[in-house]
Amino acid sequence: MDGSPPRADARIIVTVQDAPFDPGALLSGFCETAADCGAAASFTGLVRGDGGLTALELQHLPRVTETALRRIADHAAARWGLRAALIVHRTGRMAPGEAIVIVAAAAPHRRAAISAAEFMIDVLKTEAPFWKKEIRPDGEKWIEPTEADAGAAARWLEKE
Amino acid sequence: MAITLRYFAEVRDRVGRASETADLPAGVRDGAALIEWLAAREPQAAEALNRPSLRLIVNDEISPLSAAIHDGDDIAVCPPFSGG
Repeated sequence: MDGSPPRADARIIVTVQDAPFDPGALLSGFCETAADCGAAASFTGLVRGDGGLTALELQHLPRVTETALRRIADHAAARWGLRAALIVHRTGRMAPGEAIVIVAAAAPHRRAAISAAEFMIDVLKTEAPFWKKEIRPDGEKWIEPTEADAGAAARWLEKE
Repeated sequence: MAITLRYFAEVRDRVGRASETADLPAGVRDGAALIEWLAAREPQAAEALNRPSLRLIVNDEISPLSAAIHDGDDIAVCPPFSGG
């Protein structure tokens, strides 16, 4: 994950916050800063409210989390020649249907933007110090990454 | 040797606190020995501590269990990450 330096002119925004965010508003703002690009791709993760989930709780390690996200965004910017990248991640307690994370990538052409967005969300899941707990009426459970999650991150990191 | 320990996720629930300052015995000089010492002191957390997927973040750097530990280190005990 270290190695290639970011493009000097890529605009990178990384935020970790307890407060809810509006993915639509963030994406609109992101597109306004990407007027020099032909493509902006994004992914929004939502709290999946299945199986009677009442809340999701997210812990993180401040400062280290921001550094890890920044490194992921810088890496994506260097690898796909992005003009801009955005990662916003929530922490604390969230209700079903709320947005947990948004990643966005802007590039001259669609393929680079789509791949970079996919890379950022896949790698973020296993390489940034977040932990999430599902809270249901019958108990609480810490979520561990699945083999599919690990495989998705490894697929990007091995390709280098 | 005095260090700061921070716990996350299941380990935090089992240990029962988010962080503490700990005075390590002289023989504990790396991450693996630290986890062994901690698991003996906190048997209710031993199962969560002894998973092979456990990682440490030493002074803000993700580190293997073989990492050396020094006086004053700030060490986060980390079950597998699950963001997004």
